[in-house]
Amino acid sequence: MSAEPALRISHLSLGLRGGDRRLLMDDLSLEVGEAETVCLVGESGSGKSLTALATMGLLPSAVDVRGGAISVAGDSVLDASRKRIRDMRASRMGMIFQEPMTALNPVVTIGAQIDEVLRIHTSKSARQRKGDVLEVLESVNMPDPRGAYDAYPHQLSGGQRQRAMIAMALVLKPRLLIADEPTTALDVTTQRQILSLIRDLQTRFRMGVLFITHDMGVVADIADRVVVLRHGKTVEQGEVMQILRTPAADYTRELLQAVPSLVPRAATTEDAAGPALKVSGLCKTYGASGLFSKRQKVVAAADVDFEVRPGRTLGIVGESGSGKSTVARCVMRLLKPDAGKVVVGDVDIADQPESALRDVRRRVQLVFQDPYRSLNPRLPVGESVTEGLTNYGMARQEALERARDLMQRVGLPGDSLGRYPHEFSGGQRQRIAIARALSLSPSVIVADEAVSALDVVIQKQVLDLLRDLQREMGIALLFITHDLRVAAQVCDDILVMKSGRVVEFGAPADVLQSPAHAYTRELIEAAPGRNWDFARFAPVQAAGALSDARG
Amino acid sequence: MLQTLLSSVTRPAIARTPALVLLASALLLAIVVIAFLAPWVATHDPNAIQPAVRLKPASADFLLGTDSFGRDIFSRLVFGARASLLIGVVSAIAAILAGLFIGLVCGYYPSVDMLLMRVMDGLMAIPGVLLAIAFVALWGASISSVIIAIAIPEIPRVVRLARSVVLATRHEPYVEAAVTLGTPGWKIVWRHLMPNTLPSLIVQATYICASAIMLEAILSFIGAGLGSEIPTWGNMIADGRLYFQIKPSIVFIPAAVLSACVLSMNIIGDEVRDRLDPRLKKGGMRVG
Amino acid sequence: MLNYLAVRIGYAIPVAALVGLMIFLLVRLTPGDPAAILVGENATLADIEAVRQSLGLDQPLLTQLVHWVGNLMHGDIGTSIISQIPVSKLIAQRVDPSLSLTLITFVMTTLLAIPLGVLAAWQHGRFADRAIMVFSIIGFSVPVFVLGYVLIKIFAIDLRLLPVQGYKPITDGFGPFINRMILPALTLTLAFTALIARMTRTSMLSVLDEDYIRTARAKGAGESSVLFRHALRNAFIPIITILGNSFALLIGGVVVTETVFNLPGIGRLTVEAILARDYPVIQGVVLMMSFIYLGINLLIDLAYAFIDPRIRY
Repeated sequence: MSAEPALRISHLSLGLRGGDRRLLMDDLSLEVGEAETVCLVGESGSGKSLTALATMGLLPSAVDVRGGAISVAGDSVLDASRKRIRDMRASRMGMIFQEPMTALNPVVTIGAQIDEVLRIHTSKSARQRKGDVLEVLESVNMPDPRGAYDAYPHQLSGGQRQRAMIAMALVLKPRLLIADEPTTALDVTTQRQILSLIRDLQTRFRMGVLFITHDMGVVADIADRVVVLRHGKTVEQGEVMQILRTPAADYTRELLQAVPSLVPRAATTEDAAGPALKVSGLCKTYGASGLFSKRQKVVAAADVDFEVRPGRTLGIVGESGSGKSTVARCVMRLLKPDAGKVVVGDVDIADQPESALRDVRRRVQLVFQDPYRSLNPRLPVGESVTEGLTNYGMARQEALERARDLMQRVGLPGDSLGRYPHEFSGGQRQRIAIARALSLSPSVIVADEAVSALDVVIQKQVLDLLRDLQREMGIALLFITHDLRVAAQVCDDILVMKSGRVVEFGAPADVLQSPAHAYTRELIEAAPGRNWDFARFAPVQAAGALSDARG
Repeated sequence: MLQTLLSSVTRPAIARTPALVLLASALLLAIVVIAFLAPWVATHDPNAIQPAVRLKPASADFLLGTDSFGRDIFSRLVFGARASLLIGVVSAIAAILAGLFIGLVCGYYPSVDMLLMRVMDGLMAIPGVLLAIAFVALWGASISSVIIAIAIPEIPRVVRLARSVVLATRHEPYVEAAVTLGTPGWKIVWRHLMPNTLPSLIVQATYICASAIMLEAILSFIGAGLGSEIPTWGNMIADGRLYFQIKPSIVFIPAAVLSACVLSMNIIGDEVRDRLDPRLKKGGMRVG
Repeated sequence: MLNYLAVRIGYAIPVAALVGLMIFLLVRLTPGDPAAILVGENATLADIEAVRQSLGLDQPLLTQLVHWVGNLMHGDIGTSIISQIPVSKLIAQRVDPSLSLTLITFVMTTLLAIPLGVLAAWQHGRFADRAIMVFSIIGFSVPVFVLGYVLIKIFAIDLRLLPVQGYKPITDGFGPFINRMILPALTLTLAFTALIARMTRTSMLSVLDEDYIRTARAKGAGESSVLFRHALRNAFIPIITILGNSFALLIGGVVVTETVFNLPGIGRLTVEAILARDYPVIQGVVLMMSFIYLGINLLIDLAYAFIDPRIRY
């Protein structure tokens, strides 16, 4: 093997084609050695994905290389001919992407898609190629490689699709693997499997991995070295332990301090008041049989019970398909439950007709996941915040007055009411969504993955805001999340759901330290960076800390 | 982030309106002005029959010559702009309004969706030209029956467009937020769903307008259109057909004006569509 | 798969029934007295009454509908009130020119339009794309009959290469047949190529934006492989839908083209029926064409089951 590192980027600068002077990437230098994992960490807009695309020679046409050099195993990428760069792709450097469903061609079988790599780059016979493809499918631990060979992408699960992508990227055993947020779209248990797979293959093939992520937990689990980026500038780089323990830059500190750890928050005192929301025996099943087709029934919620008292937070934690969002939607009566009770205050709303819901609606409000879609882009935010108030008969002028107060309360200037959603950042929009939810003075707020789409620093700010408002107004908060770490930080009680059923319930400290159900244990073990208390720059010191997955 | 940056690069390029679009707009504007001012622009009574001057070539008196009845082609062309534009614009508005209403209802109320969409599928199955021909033939040719005949076949496409936007939007978080804020159904449709359909419907309206003008001409050409006492570009071409081999310009002049008008509308429709291209509006895509 | 087929066929049946109902009502809900309109202005009351009775228009609407549907079930789509010949027989007599024109147009359009659309999408924003788009927008802005006259003027009148109009069946020899078929087919092909090329381009452009195209490039695939193996294969599905939907437009084009070139096909039959106010013929032709449209689109839907692996009901 050559002494050249798998990847060397020196003084790379990227900018926009045309007159714009701004740099998207400013003087980035990094190296990825043989069998080494370098994590590129940064918030959205940091330029981390562009770095990956530049390395593959796949930059969008609007982006221009302003200077610097990239070499993969000693071969220069930026000044290579189109033909040369095509030859280098997949053979020198492979890449896997965030969303394996859209990254795979939907009408071509998995086998044929991997086979294509071999057809492009080798002159092997069809028989040899098939052998190679099956072998690589086996090496990524694809269950039933022969079946997967003939399967179409939609027939596989998310995790299997990502395995197929990895197989495709690695079938020629490239020196460098570029992974662009490859686990962000996956459930945490699947994420853990994919991360350990990448780790295994790396050791076996001795390849360098450039791993792009926004998640410090993932960094703590897999990185050898870390490069922290912000707005295209390198904030700092170094060994992973050095970055986690003694970060030099303020920004890195700030970033780390915002990362939720699996360290439960201190329990709040029990409130004596009766429950603001009481759910019992809630059931919901999807997929009634149609006229011509009998679809499979999916049990989204089976016999779910819980209650939330004023001023307290109940977290519902689960992976996709666990039914957590179904429960939230039933509580909001965006869905009608099949059976059970949803008592808000003293009214059971589970079985009420739509017309009778109007009075109760104002008492339960919702904050959504995606700040870009939760406000009507065509209306000034003032219209959104006052919509509920005017629906319930408040005069427009008075409603605007109240909206102004609410905006100040969530930390935005009162004069922002006339502006449109696109003029605000993601965190600001989420604040506006909170103001809107507060406008009707609800007794319950349902936060459905309310911070999942935000960068970690903003996430922390929004969570802090929610907590303050909750204390002040005595609101019961139902917090739906896939992230056990966030739940540990914000909830008074945690309820874990799997396949529509409640498998675990208790205070965070109890749930995390002595989980009763195997699935909860699995979730805890899969939580990225679970052994690290980022905010304190030290490993978690809980009694009976779980063994290190990295071994 | 990257998307916003990229669109900031492409924006000035788009702001430069292509010459072709400017030309099309100018032409269309001229036609509209002429149509409004027809009685002043025209040099003759468009229906004055003068057998003595049949099929005359262009002259100072008859700017574009005369047709087989000795009517002034220029004046008929000017008045024809009125009828053709009226039919085009009113059909487009009628088809869009009807389609928008049905589309919103179908998209928001699943209970009627099934039935109404089957009706729309059925309407789409009847070839538009044949439906229009049959309609006008049976109901008698008048401006209003021609407009109805042209608008009806266009409705299903508008319905599909509006409905698909509603279906794509009705589970958007901001719509569900409105539900939880106690906003009544009709207000959700009006405030949150309907505005999203407008960009594509405006584009569709220009296309319908263009094709309505063309369909009117086809109806006239087939012999199912308006009588020649109301001059339209379509019946000018139809009337000239028999004399086509003797005097081609009698067909080609109205045909050229008609084509240029339809072409301008389509060019403008394309330009509007390109400017509203959703790919440039994905503001929130996260690209690290 | 079988479920999918059953569902598709299950949808087609009520749609066909609705089409029948709409066409039935189109005539029956005519304002005023359809019999009077059909007979014309100079008819006596007795004439009108005779027509009304012969068409069964004097009976209640529901009776008429039952009667009409009963006839349809026996393949009777009406009888001409002028020639007293069954409409199905009239259509059979006139089907050859229309079928030839449609098939030739369809094949030539497909062969021309899809490559042009792919080329335009591949060269997006460059010269070839612009040229194809300008051709396309002109092509569907010029009415078909105008295009027909332009071609007649150039090729038949000025250059005298081809006959102006008329029709010879293929049984009279291929030469005379094709000589008279070239201009009409070219007319329709130009108009439809403009439309289909444009739609092919749009489908291709949206597919070329997909993540899996980036994946294909990341594998080191060359441009032609990206374009044909990955993009066209996915864009093919919407393109087939477009071809199926445009059949309704094609029928409209055929009616007009036959009039321009004086082809004795179903289009001419329709126009003659309109001029003669022979409403059972109009009704019969519209019904027939709508059912053909439904049949073609049903076949396309069924073809998806084999083309698109994602379809599983």
